[in-house]
Amino acid sequence: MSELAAAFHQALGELLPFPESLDRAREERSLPARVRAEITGMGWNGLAAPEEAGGLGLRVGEVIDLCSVAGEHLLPVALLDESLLLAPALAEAGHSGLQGVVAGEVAGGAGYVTEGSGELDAGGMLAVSGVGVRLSPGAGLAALCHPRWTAVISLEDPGVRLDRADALDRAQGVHTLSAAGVRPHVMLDGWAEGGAVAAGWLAGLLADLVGGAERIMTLSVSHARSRQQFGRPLTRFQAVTHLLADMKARLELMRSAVARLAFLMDEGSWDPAFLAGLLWSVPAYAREVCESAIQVHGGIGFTWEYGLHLYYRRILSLQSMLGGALDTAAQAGRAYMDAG
Amino acid sequence: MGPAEEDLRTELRAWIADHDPGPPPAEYGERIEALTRWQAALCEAGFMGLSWPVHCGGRGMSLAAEAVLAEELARSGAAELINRLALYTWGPTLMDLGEPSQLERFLPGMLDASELWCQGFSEPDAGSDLAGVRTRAEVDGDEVVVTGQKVWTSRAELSTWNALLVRTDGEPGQHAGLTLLITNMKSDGITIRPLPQMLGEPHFSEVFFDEVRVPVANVLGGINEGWRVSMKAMGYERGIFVLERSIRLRRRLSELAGRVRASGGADRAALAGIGRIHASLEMLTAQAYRTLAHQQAGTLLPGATSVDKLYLAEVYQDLFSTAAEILGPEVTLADDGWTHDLLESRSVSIYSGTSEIQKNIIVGRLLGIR
Repeated sequence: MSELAAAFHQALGELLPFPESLDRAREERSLPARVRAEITGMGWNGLAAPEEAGGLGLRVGEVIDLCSVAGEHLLPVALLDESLLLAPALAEAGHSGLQGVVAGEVAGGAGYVTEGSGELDAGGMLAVSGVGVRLSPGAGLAALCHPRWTAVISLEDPGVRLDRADALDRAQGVHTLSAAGVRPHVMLDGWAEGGAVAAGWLAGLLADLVGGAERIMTLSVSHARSRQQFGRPLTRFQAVTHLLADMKARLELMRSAVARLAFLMDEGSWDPAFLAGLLWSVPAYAREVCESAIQVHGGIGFTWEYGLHLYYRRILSLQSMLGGALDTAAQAGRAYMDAG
Repeated sequence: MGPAEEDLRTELRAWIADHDPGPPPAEYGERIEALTRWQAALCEAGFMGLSWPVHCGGRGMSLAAEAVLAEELARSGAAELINRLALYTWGPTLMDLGEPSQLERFLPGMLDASELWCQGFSEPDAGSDLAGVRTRAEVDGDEVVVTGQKVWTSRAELSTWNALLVRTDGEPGQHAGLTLLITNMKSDGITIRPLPQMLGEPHFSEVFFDEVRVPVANVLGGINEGWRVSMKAMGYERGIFVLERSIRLRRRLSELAGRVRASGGADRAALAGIGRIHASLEMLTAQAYRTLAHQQAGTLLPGATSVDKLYLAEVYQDLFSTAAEILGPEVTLADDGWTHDLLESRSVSIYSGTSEIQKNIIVGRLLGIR
């Protein structure tokens, strides 16, 4: 782990104690402004923004380590959206809003627009319907990522309608966004067209899932070691240890694949069909890891208090945001076929 | 990949374009002969032992060069290296643990495929549990005398050398007392009885040893050091091997996509199937590259390659059962390779350590659960 990742690991551990995350989820409360200010004050929102704009200008390979730390500590996902999609998109377009986002003064968020749930017309006007977006409190800007375009819009635009959603992943500030006749402030290529900004954000979200899966794995092994049944620890039951082995294999595969994606992005030689594959596999494997973790834990794993559901809600929500397992698999198949 | 590897890629691509023998014959015996000639030609051209030190007959390049070789071979008609077990498992093990005279004797025939290698580990009562080896060997002067039986020995009848695990001391069930003997398969006292596989091919055999005399000079790593030698070899077994298999599977996926395109395109279920396999192969390749990088750096954790092997079996089986679904009922009405590979895929979760054993290794070595 890099020095920076270790620093964030320690800081997020202190700033985001697990019981408080549970309480926020129960009460559907956002992160307190004080905690958010501490995190943005450490430079979180500028991770991927260029140094001349006050960012840290990190390479994707460095960013993904931090995203795994975020996933492990359940950092509100909107902070990844601001840092990895909104800020780099504004930077790419030379937009004046960038400094405010990097400094944490302008809040925002992001959402993913699947094929068919939103379009740009020939005149560059945006129309989307009922897209889920995660927003930090007081958000003024939102980035929308579609396979073929990436847009930043103002939430104050009269064509935008926001409704608070009763979403599975609670306390993430999820809203549904509809927009008609909205002109984006920023328009960039989508990831399927090779757009690096959107791809970097997606790599970050996949790394977040790796971090979460790693945490769940640790909890599961430690539970299986300590929990006794029939007078012996769960680790003496092969049915249980083989679940753990499958989880570990999935985790290592996710880690290898996301690291390779980051490596290829930093080399400038990544390929959208590769990313399309990972948009199916990484969430699907994270989900398998989490579902097995719940099983390994037995009843305690199903309690609110133990909190595996916070990871599960996050995984299911990200998987569903991207279109779900079937759609992302078909999308990967199409990308593969098109790449010839 | 660095510049040296990219230069190698250019060199290989040009050479293969001029020398590609095309797909090997379907008939088993002819196929083996064609593959042996192919490896000899590759060796002659300087492409075998890329990662081996120069003084061992190699080119002293990184393991990444072997990855380039595997990738470029996959573009040819004949992706398979007949003496792969020697090149990627026993050659490296020999270079780690062998005497200089052994390197001199055995390495050249590994490279040019003039001496094929097989591996004698499994026995009727020692499959996944290697410590169960009962084939006995006793030192008699400057020879070791072997009596016992091995089973599932791949390509036994074609091989010159067998990396044979025998018991020189102790009782079945103990790791101690095992010895690795490089045994000439043409020795007196060896009987090979082929066991036709479900594919109908005589790929593996039972091998019987009746007072077979092997020179003590052919002991690898020392008498009673066989467990350590075997573990070393198994660490090598899965690095390049998984990458090579994954590349072969990529080729099959691309053929499947071609068939789907030719038949007028894919519906959503077929696209999802192809997408899943594509993604899995990318995961497998990423994992194999990571393993190679760790092998190169000497930082590979014991047991780590079990993830690669476990997942290889999963993807292998998923690919051919998905292909059969996508291609439809006609797939069982023609012998065009898909059903062959569907049957063959069931062996992948059994050979070189079953999937269940890989899970036990992951639990024990990677998760530290005893």
